[in-house]
Amino acid sequence: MTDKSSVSSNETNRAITGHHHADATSGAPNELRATAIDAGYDARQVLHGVDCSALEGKVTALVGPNGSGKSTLLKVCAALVSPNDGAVHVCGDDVRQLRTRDVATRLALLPQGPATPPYLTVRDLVEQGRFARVGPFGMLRRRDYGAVAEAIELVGLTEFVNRDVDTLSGGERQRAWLALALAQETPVLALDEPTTFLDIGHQWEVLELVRRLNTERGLTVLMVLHDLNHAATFSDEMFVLQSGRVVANGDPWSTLTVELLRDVFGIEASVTPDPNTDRPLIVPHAAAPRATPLDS
Amino acid sequence: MTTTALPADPRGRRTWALVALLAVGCVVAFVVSVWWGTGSIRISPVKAFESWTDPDNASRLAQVAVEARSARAVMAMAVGAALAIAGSFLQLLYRNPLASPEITGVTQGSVVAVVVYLAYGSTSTDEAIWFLPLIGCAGGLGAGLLTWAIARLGGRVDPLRMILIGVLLGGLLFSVVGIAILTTDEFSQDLIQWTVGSIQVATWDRVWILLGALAIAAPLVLYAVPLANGLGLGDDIAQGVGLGVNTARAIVLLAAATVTAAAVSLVGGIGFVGLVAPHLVRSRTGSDLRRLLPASALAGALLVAAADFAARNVRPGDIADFFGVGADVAPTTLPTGVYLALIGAPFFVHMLRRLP
Repeated sequence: MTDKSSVSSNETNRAITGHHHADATSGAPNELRATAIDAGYDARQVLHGVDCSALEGKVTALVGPNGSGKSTLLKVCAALVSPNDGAVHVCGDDVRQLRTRDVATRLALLPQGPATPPYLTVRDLVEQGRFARVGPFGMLRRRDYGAVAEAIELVGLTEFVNRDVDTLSGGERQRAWLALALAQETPVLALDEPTTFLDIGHQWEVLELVRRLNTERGLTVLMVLHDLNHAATFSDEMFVLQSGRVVANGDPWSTLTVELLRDVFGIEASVTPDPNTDRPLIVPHAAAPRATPLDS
Repeated sequence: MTTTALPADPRGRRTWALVALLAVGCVVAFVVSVWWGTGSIRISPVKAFESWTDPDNASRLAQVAVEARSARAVMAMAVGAALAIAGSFLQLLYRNPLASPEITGVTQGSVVAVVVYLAYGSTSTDEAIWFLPLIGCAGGLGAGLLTWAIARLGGRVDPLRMILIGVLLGGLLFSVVGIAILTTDEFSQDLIQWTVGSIQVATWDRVWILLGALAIAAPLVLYAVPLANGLGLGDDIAQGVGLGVNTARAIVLLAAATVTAAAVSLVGGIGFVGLVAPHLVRSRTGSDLRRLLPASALAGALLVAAADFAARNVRPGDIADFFGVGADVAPTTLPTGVYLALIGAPFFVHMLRRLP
């Protein structure tokens, strides 16, 4: 089973997303490009001249050790953090030129571990995803209800639609938040560690759902992943960050080398083909002595 | 593409049943208030209705009583609804179940403006009826703006900063009220009444001022509803679905401050209702303001109407007699705000036990 063979074409993409904002994307590819990004919080510079892209119809994974800046990069890509230097283009448009509302029709974001308010049903939550599409008084129209129903069905929560989100299990809850992002009907989806706090079964459930959205709906996906085997199994492209710089990028086989695992992640590991997927399978067997920054 | 029909939403049905029930409750409260007002005159609903439809044949006394009592009942409900709306907004805006109009500094700002004006500024007794409410409104909105401006100094406006600044500002302003009351002999009683909130002063002129102000604020309130719903999900999600977070926060705060200032500038610093009313209905309506807001507004209206009913009909002397203490020093009536706290506090304790 390979992902690339089933990546949907350009045309499918348009059919799904095009009629909602035909003028918004104006035929530009449904991709995300961050160029020469310098970014940080207050005095602390986190990213140094990072180039990163999520190409149309691909699943792109951002990986890196703790503090490497991968979450910050995702936030910059989703226009939550303004870079000090560099530019982000979503579907061909510079996000600095777009209103927040217009970014939200191009790119949907699932942040890490969102806090769930009490007494809010799955339906109420997912309906918020239509904010950028509804009128000023927030009235939902028939198409909005359709998009909400479809998003909830896609994540398999139709029977939980009237349940309060804070009464759901971790996996169901994450799917509810994912449905919120899907209700935005954007061509690009950005996910920040969508498997955090989930047990292994629910981790795979969410990741398979993301892959299905990519292959069946042609969504361009950019996600931060902590687990390298998840990244190897579910992504077409990878960007490896270390200390705020991209140190490797490419498909999983060319990216996840024994040397990279040692130098960047500090593990001695073997990389073998996964018998089921032919993707690289990383089996760590020891912590490596950390490379000094000068070595890398 | 598949079009699926989702299962019907039982919470929607429950909400409208609750709204209908509360609306009936408000009508009943109005009728009872007119029927059974202060003092000895009992006016049956039929008589009251006649005094409106056929004023020539009704007794002068009945007309006066009906007019005063109906104004007071409507004022109580409008104030309750306004403060409950503000509280519902603020609990989402601050993502804090203890948020209420008092923690924005708006209530205190309005009270301070009125009290200081009455104590030091008022020179003539024949000023226009809308002048004092206008001062109160300006004071309230000014305090809200100040809270916002100070919170903004750090760049991004963080809810916790806003709470702390609002509470601080409110405390500061209330100390000014204290000074005004202590340094003014003549009407310190009036000033104290104003500070805790009193609906005794209601007349139809003043009711129309409040209803007019609320009508002007209505589009702003409606516009703020989806913004507040989005902000309730957290800044990242809110921005992700397309809200300009800082602008949205300013609009929601402005909506809450406007309705608060309108209410407080007419009756004084009524508290508690903005905090309690949303909690009374939330477990039935959910947190989504599209359902929470109407139910919460009606609950607030009913709550203040009930408190004012107590304020009019329970004589403090009786309470003092009951406990066998100093009946001779008790005033003839207590302000509505006192009863509101008496009714609201036990309710709130009950609510807190059910909070997660």
